[in-house]
Amino acid sequence: MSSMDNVIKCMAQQLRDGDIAYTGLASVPAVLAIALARHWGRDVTFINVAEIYEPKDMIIKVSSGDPTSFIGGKGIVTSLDAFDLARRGLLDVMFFSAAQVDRRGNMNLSVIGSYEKPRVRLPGGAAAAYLYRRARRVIMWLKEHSRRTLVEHVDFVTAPGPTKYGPHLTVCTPKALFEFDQEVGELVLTGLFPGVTVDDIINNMAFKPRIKEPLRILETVTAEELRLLNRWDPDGVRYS
Amino acid sequence: MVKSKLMSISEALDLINDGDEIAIGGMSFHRNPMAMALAIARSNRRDLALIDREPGLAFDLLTISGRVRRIRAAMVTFEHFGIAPGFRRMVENGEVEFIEDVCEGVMAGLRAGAYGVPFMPSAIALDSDLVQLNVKRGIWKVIRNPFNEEEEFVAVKAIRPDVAIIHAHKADEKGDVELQGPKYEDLLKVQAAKRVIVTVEEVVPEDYFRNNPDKLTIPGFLVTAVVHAPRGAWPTSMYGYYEADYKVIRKYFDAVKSGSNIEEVLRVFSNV
Repeated sequence: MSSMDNVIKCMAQQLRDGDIAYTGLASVPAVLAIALARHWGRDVTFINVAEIYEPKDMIIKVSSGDPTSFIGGKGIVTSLDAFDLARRGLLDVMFFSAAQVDRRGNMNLSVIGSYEKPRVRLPGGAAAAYLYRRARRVIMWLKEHSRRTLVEHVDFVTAPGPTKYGPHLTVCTPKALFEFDQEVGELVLTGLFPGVTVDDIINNMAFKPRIKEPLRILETVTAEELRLLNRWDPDGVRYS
Repeated sequence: MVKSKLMSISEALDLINDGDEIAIGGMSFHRNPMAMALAIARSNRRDLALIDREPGLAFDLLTISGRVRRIRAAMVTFEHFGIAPGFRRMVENGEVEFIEDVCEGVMAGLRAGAYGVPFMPSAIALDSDLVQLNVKRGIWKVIRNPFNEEEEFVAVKAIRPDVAIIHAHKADEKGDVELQGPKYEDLLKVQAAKRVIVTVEEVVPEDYFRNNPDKLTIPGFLVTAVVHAPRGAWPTSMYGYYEADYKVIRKYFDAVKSGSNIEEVLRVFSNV
């Protein structure tokens, strides 16, 4: 078991009965979160960038856009159609990760350093500057809970954080769960994993978040859930 | 007598001019027009521009080929391998100009091109830092909703590529095409582009479509050239035909990341 398995469980727990959820490229943890939630019996409709509609099973590959990764699908639903659904306000859940996220929920997938002369040219935000606002709920995951990922101000606002009108944003990290408070316009610490202290969380991020007491203790993966994650993802792509 | 659109890959290459903007079909490691991309990489074309929403291998290869001056995309990723290696190297070194777009922007621009209208409204967030950059570049504009003066949105200028290059399953010599499985934005690219090159796994007789009319995805009048290129998406996947060859893609990733030049990188594709 690794902390990434717990992050995936945290993401899965954000899904609800009746959700229509979409996953994009480089999003193996999101695909596994949907698989896990469906295994628990949650009624989640799954559409994805591979365009394979409602697969019954999966075998994870390096690409979360790989159509052969999704088994027993009912047909093709294109990303064009999925994004139109979101623009009409009907996509319940979109998943994102980011190189940086800040107090205001702004996210950066563009550059580290200056835009013109970047220290690192990141892949780009894909649908973020649009779906990050248009999905009803955004579930974000961070592989790393650190001062370089949780920053006071992102180097570049690829996608601006939520407004008071939405969406509902949650962030799962290897240590904690944050939820965006629409009233104060900030990410608020709402949960932590067993064995993690509040100091440990705050000392490893570059802004001091508000805390919503009492903090929820997040569930870690069970042996049965780990066995399932390993069956879907035998090569451990989720750890890369 | 109707002229056949069937031609060799080098004849199809003659349809591409220096400075052309090319829309690349497929996505990530799936149904990339690799046969045509390799031919362009080995050609003497210059100053090409590339456009796609979420490109992968073919786009990255062309980006380091020396044939390309400008690229436009919403995300260039090698997914769980890492950041697309050629894209990262060329953009960080300032050797190609990168126009960073958004999925919504590429889709809206291609739709405007395909629909024959000058622009398309979009739902791009107005307070993304990308807005001022792309307004300055002249490809986006913030305008008011003519039916509701209080609402502003980003309008995306129509994208009309000079050429679209798509790899598909089957075509007859008139250019009628069957494209199975995921479509991505390939149909919009075909409609928006001025010239369309379709490489196919199989060339079929016209009767194939007459006997199976529901197999037709793209009518021949939208297609300029058909090239017979079996395994023409390899090492990317071809839905229903073959899977992505991640070992070869990994080799490409490692070669480019370690700084290999284009001749060395092209060898990754030649010794199989």
